[in-house]
Amino acid sequence: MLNRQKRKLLVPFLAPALLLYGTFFLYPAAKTFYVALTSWHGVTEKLPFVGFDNFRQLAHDELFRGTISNTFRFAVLGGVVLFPLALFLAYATSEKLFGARTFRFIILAPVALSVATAALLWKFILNPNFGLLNGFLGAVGLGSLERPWLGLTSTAMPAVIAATLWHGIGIWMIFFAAAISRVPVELKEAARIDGASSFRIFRHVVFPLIWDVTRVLLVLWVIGALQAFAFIWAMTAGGPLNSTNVFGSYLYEVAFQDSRYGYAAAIAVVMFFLVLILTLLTNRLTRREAVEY
Amino acid sequence: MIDDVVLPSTPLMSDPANQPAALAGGPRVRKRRGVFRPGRLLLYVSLVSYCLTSVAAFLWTISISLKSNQDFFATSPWSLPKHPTLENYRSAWTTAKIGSFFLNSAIMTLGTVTISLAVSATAAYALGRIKFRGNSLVSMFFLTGLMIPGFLIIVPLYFLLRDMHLLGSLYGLGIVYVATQIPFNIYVLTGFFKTLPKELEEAAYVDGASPLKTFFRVMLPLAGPGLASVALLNCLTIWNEFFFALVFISDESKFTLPLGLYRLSINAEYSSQWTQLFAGLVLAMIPVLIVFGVAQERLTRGLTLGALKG
Repeated sequence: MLNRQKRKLLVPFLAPALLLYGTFFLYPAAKTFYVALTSWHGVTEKLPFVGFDNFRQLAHDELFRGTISNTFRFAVLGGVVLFPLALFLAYATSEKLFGARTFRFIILAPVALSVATAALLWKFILNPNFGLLNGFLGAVGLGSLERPWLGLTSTAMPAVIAATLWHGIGIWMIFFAAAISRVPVELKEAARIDGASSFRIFRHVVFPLIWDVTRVLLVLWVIGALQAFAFIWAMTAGGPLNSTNVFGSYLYEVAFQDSRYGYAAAIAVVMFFLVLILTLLTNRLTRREAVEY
Repeated sequence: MIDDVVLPSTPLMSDPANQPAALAGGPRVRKRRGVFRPGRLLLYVSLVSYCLTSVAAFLWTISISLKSNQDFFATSPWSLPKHPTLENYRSAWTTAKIGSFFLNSAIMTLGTVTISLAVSATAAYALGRIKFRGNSLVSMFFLTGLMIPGFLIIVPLYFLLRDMHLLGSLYGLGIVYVATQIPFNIYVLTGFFKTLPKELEEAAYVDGASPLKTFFRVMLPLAGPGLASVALLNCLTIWNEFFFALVFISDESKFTLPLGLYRLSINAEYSSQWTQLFAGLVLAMIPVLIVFGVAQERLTRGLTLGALKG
């Protein structure tokens, strides 16, 4: 009977969320699939239907193919650095070290900065004229390594990845640390008594137990990396010579600089399915027997 | 106090990782594990150097922000300011309008997080605590949003806002912020409401409180910690949001902080107002770092609550 009373609340409690979410989130998402089938430029009232033309065009679009490979480069290169590093930082700060909390704070702090702020900071650090990095290299006698980091096609992508990871790594560290803290202390202690080194304890005791969390994080990284935009746009705007042009930046250009909205919607649709497929694939490829001790 | 004395004596608890605050047990533990371990030193060195780099970058930014423009171009970027000046801060705040960006971002964050939380908490309560036909269907409806990236909605959303004359207005951007936070909030809060004990709710009802009153007086306060964590995460997301702001806002007086800084940095490349920009950067960083320092624990909990439940 309490439940029957509570049901009176259903409509007023659910309606605002449903309305806002439906109108400004789900409806546009669904409409994108239709816009992708038109050659709309935003001027006409009616959307000129062209079927799958946009997708056919995408298949032959050199620039788009470039953005696919750049996006994957971002995801793979970033992931290869991010996961070992975040795991290391989480493990290191989980040990009883003097100042572990301070370390955590400093590592996590950049997350609080807005992406635009962090990107700007990195643009300064990498600036060829007054940047911190070139200054440092010159000071320690490695002047030959000085270069305009964001201006070269070979270094722009690694530079953007470095900035992205520096900004976000704290969150990944916290996720890993939460998982590590759930590993029973008795297991680590037993291994230690048996004379295992820190590294071996990590490799054979901790790591197998946090594998499930690692999988979830991998999927989250893939989803996030395929949507990379803010750092790239703020630091290089896709340049130099499109070497950092990814899905997000290309879509932005096509839609809001060229006003080719139908084509942009098609890119979004391809992106959506790629994210979906890669998520499922990552999930499948990393599946293992769950370890329990 | 008693714990401090008892804990170290139990053999399995002797791992210092287990008792972060056990200062009293410190020396004894260290003696027992006094073997020099090179791995530990390595850990230390790498942690310290990683953190020092971050701190150095931050200090460097402050140092440059205190230089005059001539100083900046005449001296090495590494040197400390010879005649420290706060002029850059004044001009960044007023001339470069960082102050106005700041205000826009603050209003935007507080306003949209409040509304989004109110809307989500009520819906999450309905989904988590009220049995009705179609409950799982509605839940699914909201959950779908977790899989939809911002890029998938941007084009139609742009025209939806245009048709509603909300393009280029902070109200339009605000509505989008509220809507995009809803799926995540409902997902986390529904889980949170489900874990609350039903006895308290029933007790309030038996005492004659209406369902609405029960919700506001009993359930909502109980959900406080969950709400706070979600609110903090939302604040972080919206304070930092760049993409929607970039697409929807074009009038300088309505720039949010991320958008404003981005525009300033583009302009700085032509006008060489670098020191002012460094000051702007510091102004943008400091308050957030302070809030963050205070709320770090809560934020950490919120992050793990949201992404890795259980």
